[in-house]
Amino acid sequence: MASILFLLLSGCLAGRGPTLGRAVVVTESDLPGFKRFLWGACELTRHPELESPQQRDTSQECFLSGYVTMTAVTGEGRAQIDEVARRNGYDPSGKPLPLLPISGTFVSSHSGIFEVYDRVLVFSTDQAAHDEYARDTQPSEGQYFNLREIAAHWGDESATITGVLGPDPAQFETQMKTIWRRGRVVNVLSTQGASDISLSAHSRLVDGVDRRVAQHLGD
Amino acid sequence: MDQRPGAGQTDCLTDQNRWYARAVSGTGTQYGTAGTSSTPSSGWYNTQPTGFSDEAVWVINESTQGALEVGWYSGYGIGCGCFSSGLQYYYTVNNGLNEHDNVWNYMTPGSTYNFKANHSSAFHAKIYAARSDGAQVWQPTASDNYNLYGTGDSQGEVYQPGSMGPATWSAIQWSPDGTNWYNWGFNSDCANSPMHVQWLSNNSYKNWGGS
Repeated sequence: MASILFLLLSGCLAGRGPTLGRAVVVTESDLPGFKRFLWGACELTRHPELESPQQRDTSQECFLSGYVTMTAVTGEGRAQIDEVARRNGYDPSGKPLPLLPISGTFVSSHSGIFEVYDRVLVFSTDQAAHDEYARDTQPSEGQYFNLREIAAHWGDESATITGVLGPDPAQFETQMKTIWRRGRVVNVLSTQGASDISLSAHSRLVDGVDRRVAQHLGD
Repeated sequence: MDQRPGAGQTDCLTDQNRWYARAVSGTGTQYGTAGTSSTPSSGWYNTQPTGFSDEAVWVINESTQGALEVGWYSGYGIGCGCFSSGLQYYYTVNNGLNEHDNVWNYMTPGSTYNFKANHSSAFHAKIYAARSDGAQVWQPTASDNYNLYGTGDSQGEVYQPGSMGPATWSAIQWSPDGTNWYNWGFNSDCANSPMHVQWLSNNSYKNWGGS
């Protein structure tokens, strides 16, 4: 699967020192009221057995963070999501997280952002970063319902899409996803939440990450 | 034990994170790969940041390196850009580079699913998932547009980092013609460590063999 394999958590990275990805990715201070549950280096597997050596020269760095709103982790909100889990054959008892991605009545009974994911890829050249950007922005047919594009203005090239992660926006999260490249850095930032999810709230997170990328690149 | 046509052409490989096998399915316009996979038990609930797992089958055109992949996963999916603690369908095109994650249709833990990537006509490769009773439960609409014809290469993949469990069961078949299906070579080629796939019977293989 062309997917991310987390290799090591932050503790395992201690000996490698700070990375650019770690320095610019969405942090807890960006998201008060959220629980961070992903934080670590990642690697694009990209099926190396199928790729040419040129294709294999992918990211030098991959760093990922993930957050979920605390209203989904405990209390009444958690109970709503646990009901979805049980209905689908999963046992949420004693688990530190609700079943993700969030779905069910929680989506229509709450507002704003529920989940945030930020993946930073740092390449050796602008061209390699551009190639990744081009792959990541290919049409997502079948991935979303009510998919549409929103004007984006970050970095050297950028794209923002929004769509519902299921057939009913009252039961499934709406996602906003911005993919942008600044120099040799490609970032994929997703916010997911209720149908009233705010473009301004999403854009503030992108702004913050992009500002840090620019500072680190000396732009 | 091994009665498969073309059995000598199978190949099993690992990079220590994934275990996969390949078999040349034949030439022409009709070939395919099918996998029967039992999703992890009802205890499955992925909350580990390191947790990622998938099982998939492929059809690949050796000459163009075009490929179509279908299977299930749990963890962070590139297509969605989001994390799933449950079990989800996915497929990839363009040699695995472009991924499509179905995140709204949770698969049921402890159930058996059949995945098929079947190049059944000159210009159409069909991928879908079905339950063990034959009911088709998922088919992405984009799957009718992939031209993979030429020499076929079936490939099965089992990918579970060491921290993940519990064990799942799967059987992989390949087809040289889109009609006849043959059990596939994990049994003779990959039965021993580190392949972690154990032949049990003509239609049954166990991932994480011996565990």
